[in-house]
Amino acid sequence: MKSTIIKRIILYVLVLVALLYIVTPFAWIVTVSIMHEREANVGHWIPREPTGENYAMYLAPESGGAEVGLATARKFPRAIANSFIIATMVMVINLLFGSMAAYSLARIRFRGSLALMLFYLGSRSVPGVAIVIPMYLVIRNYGLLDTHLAVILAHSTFTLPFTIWILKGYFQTVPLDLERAARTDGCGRLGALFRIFLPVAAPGMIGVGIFSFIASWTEFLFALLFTSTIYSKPVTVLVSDFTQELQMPFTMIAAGGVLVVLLPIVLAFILQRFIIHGIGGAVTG
Amino acid sequence: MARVSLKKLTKSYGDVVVLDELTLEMADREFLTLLGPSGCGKTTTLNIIAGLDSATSGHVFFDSDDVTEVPPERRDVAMVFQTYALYPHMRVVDNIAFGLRMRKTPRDEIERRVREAAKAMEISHLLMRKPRELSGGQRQRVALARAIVRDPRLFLLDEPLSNLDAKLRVSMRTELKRLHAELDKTFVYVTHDQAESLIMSDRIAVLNEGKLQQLGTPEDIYNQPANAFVAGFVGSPPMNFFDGGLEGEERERCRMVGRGFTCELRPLTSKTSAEVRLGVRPEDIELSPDGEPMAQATVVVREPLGSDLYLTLELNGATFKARTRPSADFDRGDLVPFRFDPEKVHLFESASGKSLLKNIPVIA
Repeated sequence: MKSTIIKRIILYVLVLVALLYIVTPFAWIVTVSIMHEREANVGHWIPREPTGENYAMYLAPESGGAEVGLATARKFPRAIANSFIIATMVMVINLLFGSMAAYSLARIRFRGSLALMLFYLGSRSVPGVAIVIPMYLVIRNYGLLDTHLAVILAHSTFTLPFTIWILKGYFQTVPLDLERAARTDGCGRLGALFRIFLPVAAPGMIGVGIFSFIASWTEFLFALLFTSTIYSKPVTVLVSDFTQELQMPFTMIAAGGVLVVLLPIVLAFILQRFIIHGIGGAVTG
Repeated sequence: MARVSLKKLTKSYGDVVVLDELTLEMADREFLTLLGPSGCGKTTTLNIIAGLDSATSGHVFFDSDDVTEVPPERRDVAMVFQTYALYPHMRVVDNIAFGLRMRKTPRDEIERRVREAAKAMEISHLLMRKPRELSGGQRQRVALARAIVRDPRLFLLDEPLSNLDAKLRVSMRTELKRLHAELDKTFVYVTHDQAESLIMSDRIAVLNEGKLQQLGTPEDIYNQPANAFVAGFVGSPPMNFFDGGLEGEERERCRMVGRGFTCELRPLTSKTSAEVRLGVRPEDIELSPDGEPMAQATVVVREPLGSDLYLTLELNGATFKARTRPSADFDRGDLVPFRFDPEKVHLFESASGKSLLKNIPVIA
């Protein structure tokens, strides 16, 4: 009895430490985002005079306010749209090609399937910095610099291997007998896939869909190099543009950061059941 | 109407032969069981009949139609799986109705037939539940309802009872038998449980290593096993085997000589100088017989079962099991005289396993 209480306490302390580790940087960005610039430079934890000015700069740039960063803030809606287009397309590509590849790997026994899986895994161990220059050259040679497509392709290369691994594991947890039962019940091959397999595998699909969306939404390095104007620049890159100003507006960067992560966080909260079941289920199952 | 004929079915994966020229006829409205150990090819056979798996060579006929190339969705068979394979994202009612919907059955007819099937399987109160909210036995009933609702020409059952606990399994056996009688359709049943096959089947096809060993009624299979494999696989506790040689000039009057005993035999089908195996079921051993005993064996283990008493006996280093009355007064260490019933012993050639005694149809 006593030992279980002690175990509990230890468990909660550890959870708290992990929570602080994850939440503190984010909490700090949130508090900075509602400070005035001079207070942020002092390094307060809790703002003395909270202000919505920094958010107003993004959401209603015409209303005036601080001068610094105004030009960049004006581009914010367009950058959000760019990010959304890129992340959505990355998600679509991951779901479409990832599910086809994973279904084949999960259901068909063929020579080299293990080697292929290891190759996918190995490709993830190459740091992005190492391939970003050759990739830049390829993108430039095809005349794709400063396009959405360039970023979409780049993001797909490093999200797809992960998607395939997770989906393969998830698909293997869907019993083959379900599809067989559907066949004897009168479904063709595609009917069994669409009416039985995909609905059953939906949590896994939604999980990796969200994952690839968030991965693309928050990616910075490739997007920074492949985009140069507001026609393709995603919001992560836009926020970094503040550093090019004479004075670095920390509070605006912080507010931009909060706005950038808002969408992934909302998505993760709404769909957490699928993310845990889809991605967690595949690994433990 | 559904008579199923398998003609020289062969299935191989590379060098591994799973089915080896299997030829088998299933009569209309018959309950036929494919019995064998795991890996014998019985489930593969069922999958090929369903169209879920394709044979490397050979043909499948339903009545006179060659369905070898017909996809499963157009074969009009219903299959019940060991895992039940209920669609987890659908309620019970939708699971049962799924096959009818796929066949574009009118809505009111679907409703009526689902209600009837649910009533027959006593699951009417579960229709609105999801499969995960059901017990194993209930899932089994839903799987059966999903099969019967379609009124298919043929029922295929792949070890449907093996995931149930022992008590439920026994009652479901009876239920399946009743269902077969009521539906009056052809059932092909796959199991590795020999007791199940004896209880439920009209006929049993015993398979081993992709080959048909014997096809016959449960009585045939039990009383006249065609070879040593069938003899050893069917029956619990299993048949006792004794190695030895033959003695005697004529085929009609031979004796089997084992270690420490000699057994009289019925006339042989063929005589052999090779090693032979004598097979005796535990119930065909008389302990303290009225006539002349064959030898004496020592009681090693006593296993009282309530209705019967099983004794493990030792004779010259070999052990065997004998069944006797529960009231029989035998203790560990006792020396017991015994004799094998000569009318009921079996004799097999050691190398091939072929039966050597007369009046036994040899198929394999």
